[in-house]
Amino acid sequence: MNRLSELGERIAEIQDRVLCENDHLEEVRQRIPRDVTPGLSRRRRTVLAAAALAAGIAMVTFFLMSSPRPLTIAVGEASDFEIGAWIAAPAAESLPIRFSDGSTVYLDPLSGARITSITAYGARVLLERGSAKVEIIPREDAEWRLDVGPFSVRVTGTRFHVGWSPGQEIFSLKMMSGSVLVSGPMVPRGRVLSAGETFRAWVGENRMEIVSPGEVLRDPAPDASTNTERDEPPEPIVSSQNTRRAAPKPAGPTAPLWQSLAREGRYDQALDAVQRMGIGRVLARSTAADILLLGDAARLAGRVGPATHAYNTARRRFPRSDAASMAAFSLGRMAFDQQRDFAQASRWLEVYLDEKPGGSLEREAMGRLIEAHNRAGASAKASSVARRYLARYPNGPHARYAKNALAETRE
Amino acid sequence: MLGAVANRPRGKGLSADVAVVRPLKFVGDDEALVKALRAHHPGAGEVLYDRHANHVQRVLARVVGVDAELPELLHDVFVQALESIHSIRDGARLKAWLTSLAVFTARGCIRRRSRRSWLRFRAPENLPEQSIDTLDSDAREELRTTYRLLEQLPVDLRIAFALRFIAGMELTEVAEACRVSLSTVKRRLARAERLFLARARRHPVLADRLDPELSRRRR
Repeated sequence: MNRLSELGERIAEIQDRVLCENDHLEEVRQRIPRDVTPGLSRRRRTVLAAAALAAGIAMVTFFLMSSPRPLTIAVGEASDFEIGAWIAAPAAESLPIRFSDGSTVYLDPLSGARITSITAYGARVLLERGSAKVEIIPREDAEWRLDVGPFSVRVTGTRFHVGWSPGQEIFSLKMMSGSVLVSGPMVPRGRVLSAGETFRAWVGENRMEIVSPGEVLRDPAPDASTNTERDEPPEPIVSSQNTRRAAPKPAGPTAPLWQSLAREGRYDQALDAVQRMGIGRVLARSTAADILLLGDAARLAGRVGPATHAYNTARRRFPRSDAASMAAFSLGRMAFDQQRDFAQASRWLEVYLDEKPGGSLEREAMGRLIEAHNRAGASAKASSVARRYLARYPNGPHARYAKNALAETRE
Repeated sequence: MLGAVANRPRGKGLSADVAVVRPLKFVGDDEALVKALRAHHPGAGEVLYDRHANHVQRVLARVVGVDAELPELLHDVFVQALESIHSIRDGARLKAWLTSLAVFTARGCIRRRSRRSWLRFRAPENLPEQSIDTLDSDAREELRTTYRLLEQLPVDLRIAFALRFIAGMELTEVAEACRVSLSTVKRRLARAERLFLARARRHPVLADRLDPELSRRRR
């Protein structure tokens, strides 16, 4: 890379820091008109613009006086507060973040968060570590969002408790009242959670559970809430599309056998059942969700061949679908974790990022891609991805790694 | 593409505490998104913004700099995009199309400022900028000096330089964004580099970084 390019890269990095500090994205987002008439001719646009300008000049004072002001925030006892500033709860007690509409986020002890944006209708809160009790006042036009690890929680008026452990990659959300929409890994299309429900996700293991109040598990699946204390086979994989609890539904007389085995964590038995039927035949006839389930079961059983076959089938049979992109991510992950083939991992992670810009696993894919490039000896590519990662996720779990990657290429 | 709310089991309504259920976002690739925008799918405009605002903002910042007008330019790009979505030929090239819109929006801004420069009461380098107080002094000076020098270049040379060296685009990407041929981009870049380096040698904060390059050019 010549010195002009190096200078340019440094200027870009400096600019990205400034853009992070002066984040206007949400403010601009609020101003983008919902209804835009497409295809206006330039002349008509000019005429309309001139008319609008004349009206706007006359209306500007009235508009400024009547525009809703952003909510104000008080953190603990302090009332002066800057957007983006780090908020850390002490060790012995929770820290309340109070908003002027009456909503409150109580950070649990030793938890950390940031308010990334605020409007008249709500705020966006990034819970970086730990947990928080959230109480949002219901309003018709309320717009709140919590970013918790790789998950996004959209809120209109509700109370819940949410937590994220970056080291263990465990997400949890317990609903007390109202409902929220959670989206992220394993729930890319979003999942509504209602009062009394508890959602947990073990992102690193690609599994999740949703438990409703008063539910009794009929099947002898391990209790997910104490799973980390036991030394047992992995929890069942939960298909995010049509099940709501960790244990499989009681199988009817026509329920396929291998899916139940896979959901119960009996991966080898599931694969044996598939092999008896003929894996090619099973893959040719299964839904996208079942194909991914088979791929995951094979991957978790350490059987790379069948896993690769399943994921590639998902991509071939359901091109340009969410399942195809998820398969690409899983192939990349498997190449990284199990095959230690970092060049291959890079290729698949890049495929995922190309196919799903802004996808729910983008942050994880980019972070892994930096590592994969580095381990494959492609430090220039690692730096390029690291720059993009830091611009998009300056506080993400791979931020430190990305900064180190950039620093090393400059030396 | 509808999300979980539409597929919720019957009878499982939201709690009475929630006054409204919001329609879920569109989910799909860029090609599908363009189709959705043309079909006025609710929420598609928001997805367009959420997916590409960061990139568009960075393109604008690379060309214009991080000054106070950046949010307005960002707004203009997306309004333009929504108004002219029917003109995009290949939905899969949405990001590249937005990049080009951003470049031309930035170009218009630069030309406007240049035409009105005699009306300004302040010198160009004193235009209000976004807060850079948190930067160290070297970083602040590098940023300001670079854009002061870029302002002295003809607009098309400035844009080619910014896209190539600051945004890090490939030559073909620069050509596509500027809607010119590859050979035109190469010519513009050659001139821009020559002019930029000639002026940069007078500024220690940049000359130190570019010294080997300046030495090579002098030979």
